[in-house]
Order: sequence, then C-alpha cells, then structure tokens
Amino acid sequence: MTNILEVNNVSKYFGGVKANEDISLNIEQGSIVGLIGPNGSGKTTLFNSIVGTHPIDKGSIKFEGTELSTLLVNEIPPLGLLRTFQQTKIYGQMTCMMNMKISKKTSNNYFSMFEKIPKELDEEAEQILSFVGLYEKRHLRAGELSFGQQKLLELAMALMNEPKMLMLDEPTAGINPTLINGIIDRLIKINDKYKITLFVIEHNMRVVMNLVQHVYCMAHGKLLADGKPEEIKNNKKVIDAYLGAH
Amino acid sequence: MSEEEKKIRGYAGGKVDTVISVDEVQDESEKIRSKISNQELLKLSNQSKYLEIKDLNAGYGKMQILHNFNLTIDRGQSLCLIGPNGAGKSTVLHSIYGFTNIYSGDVLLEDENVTKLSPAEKLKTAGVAYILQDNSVFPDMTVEENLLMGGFIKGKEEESREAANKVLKKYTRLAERRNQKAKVLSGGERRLLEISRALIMNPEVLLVDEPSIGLEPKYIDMVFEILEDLQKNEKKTIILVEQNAKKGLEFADIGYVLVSGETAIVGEGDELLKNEEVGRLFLGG
Repeated sequence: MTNILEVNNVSKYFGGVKANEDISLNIEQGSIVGLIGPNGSGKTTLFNSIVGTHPIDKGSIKFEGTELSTLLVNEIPPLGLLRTFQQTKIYGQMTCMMNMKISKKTSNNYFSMFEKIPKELDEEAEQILSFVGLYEKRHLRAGELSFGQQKLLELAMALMNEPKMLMLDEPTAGINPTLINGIIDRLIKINDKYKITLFVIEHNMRVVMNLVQHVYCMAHGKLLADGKPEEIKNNKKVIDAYLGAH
Repeated sequence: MSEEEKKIRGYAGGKVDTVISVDEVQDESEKIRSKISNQELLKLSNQSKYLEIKDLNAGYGKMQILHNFNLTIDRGQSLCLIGPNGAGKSTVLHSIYGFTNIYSGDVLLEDENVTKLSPAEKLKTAGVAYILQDNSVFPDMTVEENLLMGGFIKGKEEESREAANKVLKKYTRLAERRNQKAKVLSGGERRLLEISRALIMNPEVLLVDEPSIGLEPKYIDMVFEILEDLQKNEKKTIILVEQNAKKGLEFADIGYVLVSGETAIVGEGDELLKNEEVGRLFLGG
C-alpha cells in the first residue's frame, strides 16, 4: 500500500516550548488512523503543521509526494487535504443548504467570492446532507441544529470539496453517546464509499477502538507509541501517560 | 469480576452498533415516557426537598426550553442529568443559578424561594456555586490568584486567603503549582482548579456542567473521584450534567433523563445504567 501522508522528523517550537519534537508518522492511503494523547501533548499543533497554519521548524510533510511545508495555508486544500476543528465552524444564521454551497471552493481566486453560486450545487449539497442524515433539516438555520447535528453539518461541508483525506479534531467531544454511534457509522461509510482517508484526534477510547485501524499516541510533544488499537490499549507507556491504570 | 474491574473507567468501552438518529430517540422516548409523579421524585430524594424545582418553565429570551420541569434532591445527594444534545440539561443548571428567563415556576432551597436571586446573590448568600462547561481559568494568573478570584465577591481578601490555603492543603497537586500561571496546567489540573475555585465560597450546592468534557481518559476518573470526595466527606449536594452518561450515572445517586425539555425517565443512577431502553437510546448501547 502507498502512503498518502508522510511526516518525517517534524519539529515545531513556540518560543522555548517544544510543541512537536521529531515527529515521524505515515498514513496509508484509504485507512482510518487515530491520534491520541494527553491534553497539551501537541496533537492539534501537529494537525496545524500539516495543513500549513504555521510554518514548521524542522522536517518534511509530504501529501501524495508533494512537500506541504513550503506551501501557504490556502494552497493545501485544493490538493485534497482538509480538516475540521474541535469547535464547530459553521454559519449559524445561514441555512444548512447555504452553508453547504458556500463551502464549495470553485477557484482559488479572491474574486470568486462575488460569483453566483451555480445551480448544480443544490443537488450535490442535498445528496451529501441526506448522506449525513440532515436532509430533513436542510432549510433550517444551522444555528438551530443541536451541537451534534452541527458537527455532522461541518463534516458534510468538508465533503462538498471531495477531499482525498480528512483530518478530524475531536469529532465526538461534547456529543451524547447515541449520536456518537451515528457519527462513527458515517465516518466508516465516508471512508468506505468515498475512499477518503481519515486521520482523527480523539479522547473517547470507545470511538478509537471501534473506528480506527492504527493509532499513534503522543505525549509531551513526542511520539510515544503506535500500533493497532488493541496493542495500544494494553501498552504500558500509553496506560501510564494517558489511559490511567486499568 | 471483581468490584474494581466493574467500575467504569474514562469514557467507558463498548460497541457502537446502535445507530439511531436524534429524531428517532425523541420519538421512541416519547413512547417509554411515563407520567412522573412528584411522589416518585420525592422517593428518590428520601422524601426531602432540600432543593426543589417546581413546575418550571424557563428558557433564553423568548425561546422556551424547559416545560413544567420538576426536581427534588436531598442534602448531600448527587443527581446527574443525561439526555441528547439540546434536551435542556444545562438549562436546568442555568435556571437554578439564575442565568435563564424564568416564565413561571419556582426554585426553592431549604423552603426558601430563591428563584429571583441573581447569580452573584446565589453564590454569596444562598451557597450555590456553578462550575462552567467551558474552560474558565484565568490563564495569565497564578493558581493561587485564580483561587482568590473565587472569593472576589466576598470583598474580604483575608477570608479568601484562608479558604484558598485550606483548598491547597487538600489538593497538593495544585499546591505544588501554587505560583505558576494557570496556562501551564494540564487539562485535568485546570478542571481541578475550576472545582477548587468554586469551593472558596464554601458552597453547599455544586452545579457542575460536564465535568469530563474534553478530558483525557485518566483525568476523567480523577475528576469523578474529587466529586465523590466532596459529596461523601464534605456532604456537598451535587447536581451535574454529563454527556459521558455511563460515568455520570455510576457516580450519581439519582439520574434524570431529559428529552426536549421534559423529564422522560427518573431512577437511581445504577438502576438507569441497567435499564435496557435507557442504554439503547441514551448510552450508546
């Protein structure tokens, strides 16, 4: 199998704080990979480094062979690599449909924001909304959706751009257990049906155990361990640093 | 299986096969909803009305969230509210503390009507403290300064200092970091600081909004151990909202399941944990 993402010896410092130190990891194309670790261990920083939010101090990040660390933050999504955030970023006063349509990037031109939204987008948006289970709510203002539904909308918005790989930052934080199951189910289908590679930060081990094929665990800015979920769950270093005594 | 093994750890394990939409949860819970009598609520609170919510209709602005909501709890008991996102769980806490618009109904504490008290008065005179869902430490202040801010409303720094010392004596984890800025604390330590800060006013009633949100697994257990200590050893009355419903119900004496602003099911925490319908609809199977 080929790697869609290759992170090699990446370091990122904030002043004297070593947020990421010498991180190397590979994400296989078509896989679902998890990233766990204590609060403040550098998981979100690594996500930010990959999508170019800030420059890295050392190392290399390659997406399908293209070096990302020299690109600007807006040059990366067109390659097919997208991310979502811990806090939902949706437009509460707009309808779900409108949120979907403005998410579609037609060109990377500043004037594109003044262009008319093409009619064909309606159908595409409706299809994806029905896939995530929000079709009935498509004309509601996004702000009226529950927090869990907003997370699903955010996921749907990312799908509008047909990414090759999605990076999700705590997709189930603050969501009730029943709806969490719904989100896991959708994520597995996204991976399966649209062949989208997923890289997921998550604290909820029930989600990690049931969703991912491979897990990386970080602690204090470094990679602590990696392996299959079952292996990681029983890894002594991971238990000490993160899971707590069993 | 030993008692120790049975305890729910962190986010708890389990399968994820039960896939139900929010609307289905609502429809189905409509079916199992029973008319809950006040006798039933009183039975759970040992016939005590230490804190009571009576026929409460409340919301934000014109948007009504809670419909004829009732609750009773005894002194030193703990009660956990669970239910789907948007069911009105946090609104119950907000209504007790005074953050909502109350259209009708009452909040009584030891038979005294405290419905109209402002949040500041609740904290200062009624002995009710609220611990926010969101991160609320002052990042650029030291741990000690954060604790002192908890007593700001007293207007007597000496008393706050005394209370802070008492708290620091108890939680050595915080004492070690007394003079460090709060921003260097780990997620679990921040939560501990937020709970400790609420203790400076020596409240009788603690309202805790999602104690485990965003926390790594090992700190979840720690936070619940702290709450258990406050209830068992300091006889605090605790009402909490928790999405990590299994852990919340395991901790609490009483559980209320909320759906669309109304109480659907009540019971002892352990009893609800074992209830199959509750498991399927609200605990993820």
